[in-house]
Amino acid sequence: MIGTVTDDLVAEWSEFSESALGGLGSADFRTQWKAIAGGGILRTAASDASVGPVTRALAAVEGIGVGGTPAGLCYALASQRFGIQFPLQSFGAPAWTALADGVERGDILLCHALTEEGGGSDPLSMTTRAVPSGDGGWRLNGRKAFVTAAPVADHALVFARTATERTPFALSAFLVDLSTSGVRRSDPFPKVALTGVPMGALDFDDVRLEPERLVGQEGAGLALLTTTTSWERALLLGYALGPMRRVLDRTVDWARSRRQFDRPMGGSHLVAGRIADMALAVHRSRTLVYAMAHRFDRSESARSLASDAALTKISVAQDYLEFSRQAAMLGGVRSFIADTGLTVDLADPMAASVYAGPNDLLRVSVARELGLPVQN
Amino acid sequence: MNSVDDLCDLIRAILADTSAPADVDIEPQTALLVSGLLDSLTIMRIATRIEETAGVAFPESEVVAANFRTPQTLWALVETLRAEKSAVTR
Repeated sequence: MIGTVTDDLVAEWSEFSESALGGLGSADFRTQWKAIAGGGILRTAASDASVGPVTRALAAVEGIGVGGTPAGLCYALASQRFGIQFPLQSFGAPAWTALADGVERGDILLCHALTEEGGGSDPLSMTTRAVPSGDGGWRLNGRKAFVTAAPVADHALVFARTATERTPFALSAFLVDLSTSGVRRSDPFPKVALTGVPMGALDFDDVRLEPERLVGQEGAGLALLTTTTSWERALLLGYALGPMRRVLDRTVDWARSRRQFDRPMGGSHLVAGRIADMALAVHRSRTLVYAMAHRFDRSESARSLASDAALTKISVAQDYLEFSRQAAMLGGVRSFIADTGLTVDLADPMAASVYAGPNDLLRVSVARELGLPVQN
Repeated sequence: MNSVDDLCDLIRAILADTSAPADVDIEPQTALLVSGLLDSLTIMRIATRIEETAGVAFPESEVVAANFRTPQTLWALVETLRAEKSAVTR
């Protein structure tokens, strides 16, 4: 949970990120990634009695955001840490063990290749397929699209069908080295939200996979997917906490110093109320995300947390958007000019309602869990 | 949960909450995977309910077809998980 130890960790990581990224403002994505990873943010620290490894990782992600790390980089780090590393660690796959060290050092970058042109929320409809190659290995064919970090990643966690029927056990997961012959990456897509991290497509043209590339057993893809999506929905939005706190601080400064009608702007009850609402959004989001981290630290299973993870994701995404809307109104025209120090990016928080499971589809899964006879 | 019959009861109760065909009875040898009886959500629910009532952790890596073919194969897994657990705690 949130306490003084967590707050100290956030402060340490904030200081670290400021010095690690100092002078690297115009460096490329991998250089900045490596600089932040050098602090150990991707490594599972020896946990002490008071703070577990998931809470520590969340405090690190929040801290680098508070320190001014670009939102896109915070997002990419959180996405790999929570959406791939922790789930693979708990799944216990040999293919992962071989990579873990390089990933934790920041030398090997991963991406999560689930979504296809036809979508990501209906995984059983995917067309990418792996067929046995006769020697225990596999041949992979298909195309994954809208994959965060695909243009810069070294390995991909690829979900593919290993059976033709639409059954829950038709999918399997593979850790694929993207330098393998037959793998082709697209140019980065021209994103207009979270522009700090590239996104692209991966094409697999008869890619040979050794038997040990399979993660878990054949047919375990959906179970792994349940795990990765549960982790992601619970914790990915932790990336927004740091940037939100920075915006709140600077909005308070602005409302205190900006004079209008012969008084500080913050003397208006309407302005003060909006800023209180912004603080409420930060408070609620932090409380929810840290509570999920705490439950993972207590070894509650990802499967049993799926519904609460979905609720957390919806809530933080909504709060982040409403928070940003308030900040944009209070910054006035300066919200929309790049170098004013009050610029607000409304596309990033809006995108949060769409990635990692669109909020409306998550609502359906929550309602179904409550017992409503509703299908996707 | 002490027997494969208890497990059949558990599966029956979960299926009653879903849109599964109501006329399918669940016996130890009922083929669970052939008829589209179990969708992904139902499978995850069964795994979670087994954890809650059998007192064992159901590893994600065991959520595979071989274990869900019939209540009997699922019960065999529960017994294996229980044996592993008591071997560790002994």
